[in-house]
Amino acid sequence: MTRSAAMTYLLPHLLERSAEAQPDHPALRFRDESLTYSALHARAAQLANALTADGMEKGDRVGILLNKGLESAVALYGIMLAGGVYVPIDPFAPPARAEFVIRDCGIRRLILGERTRSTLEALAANDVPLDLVVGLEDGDFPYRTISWESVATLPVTPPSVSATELDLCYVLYTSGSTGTPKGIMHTHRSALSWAEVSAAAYQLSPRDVISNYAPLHFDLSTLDFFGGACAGATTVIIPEEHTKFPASLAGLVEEEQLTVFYTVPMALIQLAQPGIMDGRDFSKLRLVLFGGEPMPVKHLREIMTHLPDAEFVNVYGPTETNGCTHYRVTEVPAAGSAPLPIGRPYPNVEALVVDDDSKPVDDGATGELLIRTPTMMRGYWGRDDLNEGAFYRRNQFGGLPEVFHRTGDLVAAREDGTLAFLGRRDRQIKSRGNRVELDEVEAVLVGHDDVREAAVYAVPDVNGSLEIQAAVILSGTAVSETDLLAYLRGVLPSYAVPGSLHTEDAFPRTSSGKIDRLALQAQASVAYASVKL
Amino acid sequence: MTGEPLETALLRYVNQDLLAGLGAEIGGDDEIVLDGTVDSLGVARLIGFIEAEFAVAVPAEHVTIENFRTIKTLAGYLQGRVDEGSAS
Repeated sequence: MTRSAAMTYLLPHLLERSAEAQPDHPALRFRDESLTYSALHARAAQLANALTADGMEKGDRVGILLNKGLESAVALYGIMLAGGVYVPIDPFAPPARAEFVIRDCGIRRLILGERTRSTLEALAANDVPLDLVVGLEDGDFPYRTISWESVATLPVTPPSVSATELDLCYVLYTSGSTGTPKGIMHTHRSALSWAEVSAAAYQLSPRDVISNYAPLHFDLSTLDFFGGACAGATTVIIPEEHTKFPASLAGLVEEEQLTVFYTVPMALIQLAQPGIMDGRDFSKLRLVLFGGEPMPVKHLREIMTHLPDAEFVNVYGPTETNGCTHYRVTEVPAAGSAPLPIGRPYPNVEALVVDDDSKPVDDGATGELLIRTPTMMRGYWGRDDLNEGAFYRRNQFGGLPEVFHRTGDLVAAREDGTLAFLGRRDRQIKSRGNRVELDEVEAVLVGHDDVREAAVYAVPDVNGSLEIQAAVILSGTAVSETDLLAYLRGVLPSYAVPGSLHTEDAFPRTSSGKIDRLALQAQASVAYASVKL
Repeated sequence: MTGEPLETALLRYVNQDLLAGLGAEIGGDDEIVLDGTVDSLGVARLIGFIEAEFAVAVPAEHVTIENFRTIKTLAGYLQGRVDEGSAS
């Protein structure tokens, strides 16, 4: 069956459409390599044919265990063109995590790179059942293998598949270092909606050069690739090592002449350090998008002085829903540390703020944010225990209920109608009988001039109660831990002041660049138990 | 300073402290950032070690892939900083 040229209902049709409209336009760049739209489409189609020839069927999950590079983009399109579901696996995670994802998601085929070969060795040693590994010369593995060279000999017309827009296109596993990862399932429809919404909201065009900062398993990457392909823009895949070296990252942003930079607050905080951005030309950069966790206003103020002509937008949305709301920063107050609003819903998104009984709160009151949007996930892979609680169903007009996602995030409407983000619901604890928002304590700490970043977490104490603890990274060394606690006592109620506070050179991070508070909490719990028991 | 070559001191710190328990050992010419052997937390710790051990400040704009690519390139960069410091 041939598809009407105007009809776009699967995510990879975005690539097909741009390959027809502007075949020779660069779709991707990585280091000194690039792929045009027609070349990317051809290579993805060849991979799709390799997978189909191996017996892959619609809905099969295929793992992408690759470091960043052109192949990783070929892989995600190739898998979808074959009717499959791509599942990125963090190439830097321990093999045990790769094994968990592969077994949990029932992955039988894997796209591999030379640098992730050692992970495959560990998988084979544990008898992880796989059918096919793409990207490998014949090796001593109990799996069928096919090299990229062999894939490149296959036809460049994609196989015909019977997938519909309601079928899954990817599963993204949550990236925390502790706890059981959850696979968040998205359909072609939800992903395509987000690509179209983001391309329209930010007026992406073929002239744009968009960063891909996030790894594939982090949902920021979907705007980079699919928002970009929707607009026929060029996406520059940022090599992983640049995320550790802000001075090198600044050089790349300048040399690649990025027009759109989508990243996490950590990257912007690092770029704003003295000396990093001085003397460089960022005049092409028109738009800086950031999301994933709250951006401290004082750091935003710093980075904005370096990029006076760029527009800054705070993008809010859990992986479960894609982008829900955004806040276009028009001005930042010159002083103070009030958190940055998350703004207003995108078109086609409904936001409700509800109390503990799921009843809408009064304007300005704090409640949990519920989101209804076509960009919403299907659910968590294989986790019916979680799927019930993840959604709220409202029977307002009879017939089928309206389905909202429970974000678990606390928000309140501000006077101008934008939403303020007040923290995670599960980061709300009881301290000496009083309710404390750990995220609020964190925001107050970061408000101190000498604190660059802060993490606040609760550790069980010997009485079965919780002790609030804080870790900070200082921007200078001018302030002592005692002084910081004294500062907090002047701003917060006594029950919200951390029982202890210490400084760190750097924080553990999740693979998506967020502060790994659970890891800090786990370290503190071990230390606490050994000291106080 | 003990007079020990910079490269030896750096290698000892990376292998005995930074990578302790990870089952990885590196040599002076091994790539340490491209393959993720040392992550961003590791880079921060390495800088903390350098600043404490050699009394050399490492400004943020010097923390680049070129300088930190291998222990040998890092030692070369540091030698330059030490020489600058003693010249001024």
